[in-house]
Amino acid sequence: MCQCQEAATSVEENFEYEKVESLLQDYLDKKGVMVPILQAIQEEFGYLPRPALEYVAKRLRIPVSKVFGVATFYAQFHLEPRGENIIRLCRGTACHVRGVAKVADKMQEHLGVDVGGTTPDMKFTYEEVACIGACGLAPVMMINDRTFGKLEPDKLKGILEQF
Amino acid sequence: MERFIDPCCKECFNSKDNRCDQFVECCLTGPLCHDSEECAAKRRAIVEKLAHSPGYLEQ
Amino acid sequence: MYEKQILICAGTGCISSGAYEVKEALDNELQKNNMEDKVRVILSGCHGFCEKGPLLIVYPEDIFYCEVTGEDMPELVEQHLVNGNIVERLLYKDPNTEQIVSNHEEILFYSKQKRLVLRNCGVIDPENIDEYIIRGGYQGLKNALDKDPSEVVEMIKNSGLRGRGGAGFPAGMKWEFAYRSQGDKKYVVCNADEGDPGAFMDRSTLEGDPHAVLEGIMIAGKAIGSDEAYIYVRAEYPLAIKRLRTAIAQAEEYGLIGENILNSGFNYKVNIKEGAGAFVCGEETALLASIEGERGMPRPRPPFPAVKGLWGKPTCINNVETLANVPLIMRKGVKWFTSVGTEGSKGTKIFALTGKVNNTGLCEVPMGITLREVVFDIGGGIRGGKKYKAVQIGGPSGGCIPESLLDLPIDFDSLTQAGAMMGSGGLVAMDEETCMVDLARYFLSFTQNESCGKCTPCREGTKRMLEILERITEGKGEAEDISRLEKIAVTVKDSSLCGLGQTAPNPILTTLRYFRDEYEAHIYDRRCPAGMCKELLSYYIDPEICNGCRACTKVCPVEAITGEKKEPHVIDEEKCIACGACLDRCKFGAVKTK
Repeated sequence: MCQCQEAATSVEENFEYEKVESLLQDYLDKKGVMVPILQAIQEEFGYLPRPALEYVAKRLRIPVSKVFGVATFYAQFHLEPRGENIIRLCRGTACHVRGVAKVADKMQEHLGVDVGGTTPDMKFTYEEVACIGACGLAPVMMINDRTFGKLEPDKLKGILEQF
Repeated sequence: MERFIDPCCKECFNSKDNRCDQFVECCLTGPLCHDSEECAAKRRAIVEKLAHSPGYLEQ
Repeated sequence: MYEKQILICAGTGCISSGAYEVKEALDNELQKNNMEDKVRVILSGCHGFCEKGPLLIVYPEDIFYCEVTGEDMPELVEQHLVNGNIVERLLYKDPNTEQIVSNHEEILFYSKQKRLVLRNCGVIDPENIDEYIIRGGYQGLKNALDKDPSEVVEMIKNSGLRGRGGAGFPAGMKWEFAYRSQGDKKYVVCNADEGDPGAFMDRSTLEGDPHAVLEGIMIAGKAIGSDEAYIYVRAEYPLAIKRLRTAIAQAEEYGLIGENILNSGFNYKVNIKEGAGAFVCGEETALLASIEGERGMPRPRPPFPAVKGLWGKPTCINNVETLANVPLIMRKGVKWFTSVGTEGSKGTKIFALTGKVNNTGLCEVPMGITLREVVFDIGGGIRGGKKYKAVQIGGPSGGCIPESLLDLPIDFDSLTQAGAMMGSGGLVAMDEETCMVDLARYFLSFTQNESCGKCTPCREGTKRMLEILERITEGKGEAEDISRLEKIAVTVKDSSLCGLGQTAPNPILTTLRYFRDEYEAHIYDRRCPAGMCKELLSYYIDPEICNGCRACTKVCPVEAITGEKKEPHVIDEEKCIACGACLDRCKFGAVKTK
């Protein structure tokens, strides 16, 4: 039997639905709000918990699949919990030409995780992005909102220790 | 007058309910609705304070 | 009046190099010397010369300091501000002539530029609307409000302004379509979803001169009969978003956005939408879908957005740089604007010059300038004295232009003829150590990853082309691979739904056109001429240099390196998997490749 209905109405006991409800207040009855809602939820929880998405679907009276469709389309959204600090290594053209590949290898070796992975202590999540628009300083990465430029494999350890 | 939006004197009527159509010109060459060297000097003072280099005022 | 004004660049590049620390240290020093009332410190937008950041300029004498740190500030304040002596060690040194230059207009990086759109970037405090007004801001809007909408459209048409975001469609025609469309509600959308890897001009414009973009948006609004706009900006640009919000709030306070602007009866509202990370959203119909809260997938045109756009209403979509040109045209007139540029491409273009040149950063040049001037004068030539090979222009939609075409004038039509395109203006210079096949593979992996999957040619074609390119760079290429690539590339170009797919094959087609020999070397000789494709390299140890320290033997994952302690080591080519670990490890440069 199809279980969509059940999934859509199921209630997770320990989940803080009231948080989602209060986030939704700014957006109900407005148009084009799906992306901003998901951005707000991710801002609050650090990722998009499944119960939150199901709740959003219920409140906006749209299928859960539609919410997941948007959530999985954009690189910004994450369905799994992420680390305390988000590392975004730039894989743009300028960084590519200036040898970011070696930095990436070193980073993965250092953290012991692959792209998209989170360290077991939840300290770092390692991501790669297309371009962060600081090409003059290639190779570049961002950790949270801070930008680090002119990277070299040997500099990584010192930078990561600051966090 | 610290900023262009501040009225130079009581004569300036520019406000939310009564927008002046010459506001942009007024900032640089005003006042335009009344004659006052004193008010003109206030505007010039803002320009002189912010303009930092010889080429700054070249438009 | 201040005696001195000090400009510190607070673009994203300089901030990451420590501009805020410099500001703090400078403020401290000024306080210690009781100079706070005499010296004004301004955080400006991007000066473009990110490579040398943080940048600091002292006015009125215009002394340009680069790569400054907080620790330099006591000396700078004491020597320059108190004693009036220039701190020579912090001045710019020309990488080729070694000459020291103190005035920034004399640096080749700047002197060859024509900064019209970027005229305020790095000059004014972007968070102070008064500075924008002093520099002629909002006069273009005033001129537009005094005119009939059709006259405004006509002016932009006559100016020959072409869209700066990609294909170069005439902006005036876009406006005219939207102007002629019937509708109770119309929108202007500013495309600030700058997704091209290697391009950051929109980011710098928004960060350094946000009011120029707002003014351009409102002039467009007046022309097409719209009262509301959306700016779709990447969430990865937090500083640009912050400065835009500040600018909107100030313009609202000044009555330059909102109800009855300048008592003209014209009302305008500007909204910001944060993009969520999808390259395809730079395509206009995908962008609209994203603003509407859907998956950002393109749809077939017609109907064009000018007829049926955001929420079904007529919509005019322009890119940031295009809109930033508009206030200048409205203020200074069509004749002034058309005096710069070439027959078919008027005005200037901003390029993000990066890669292996000495001076990287943002530059604005008149259309028609040659590639040679950009790479060798503004860019200062190739770093490390290496040999120039090609430039990649226009990002994943563009192409590679070889050395033989260095004197090609940069304009929309010449670039298209050469098989590349202006794109958004990323310009990556490459030297002899860049492998062109690997570069094509790099761009394809990007477009393949960003393909939204809606249409088959793009979804499947990019995947298959990427597979072939990966195979070639791994040394497993087949003789028929070149013709296979050509065939798929042409099909994808001709039959994809949107600009992403239609231009995705360009990096392959141009490298095949100009660097076919490199493909052939990979396939037939199993050799990478640039020495970049790891799997095609063979490693050896130079016995003259190796001192037998054994460091490489410890990192080799397959135990391919043998040799006695303090004796030169040897790599067993049969066992070696070409991972490069020994090369990275050797402190003496004894491990080499061939």
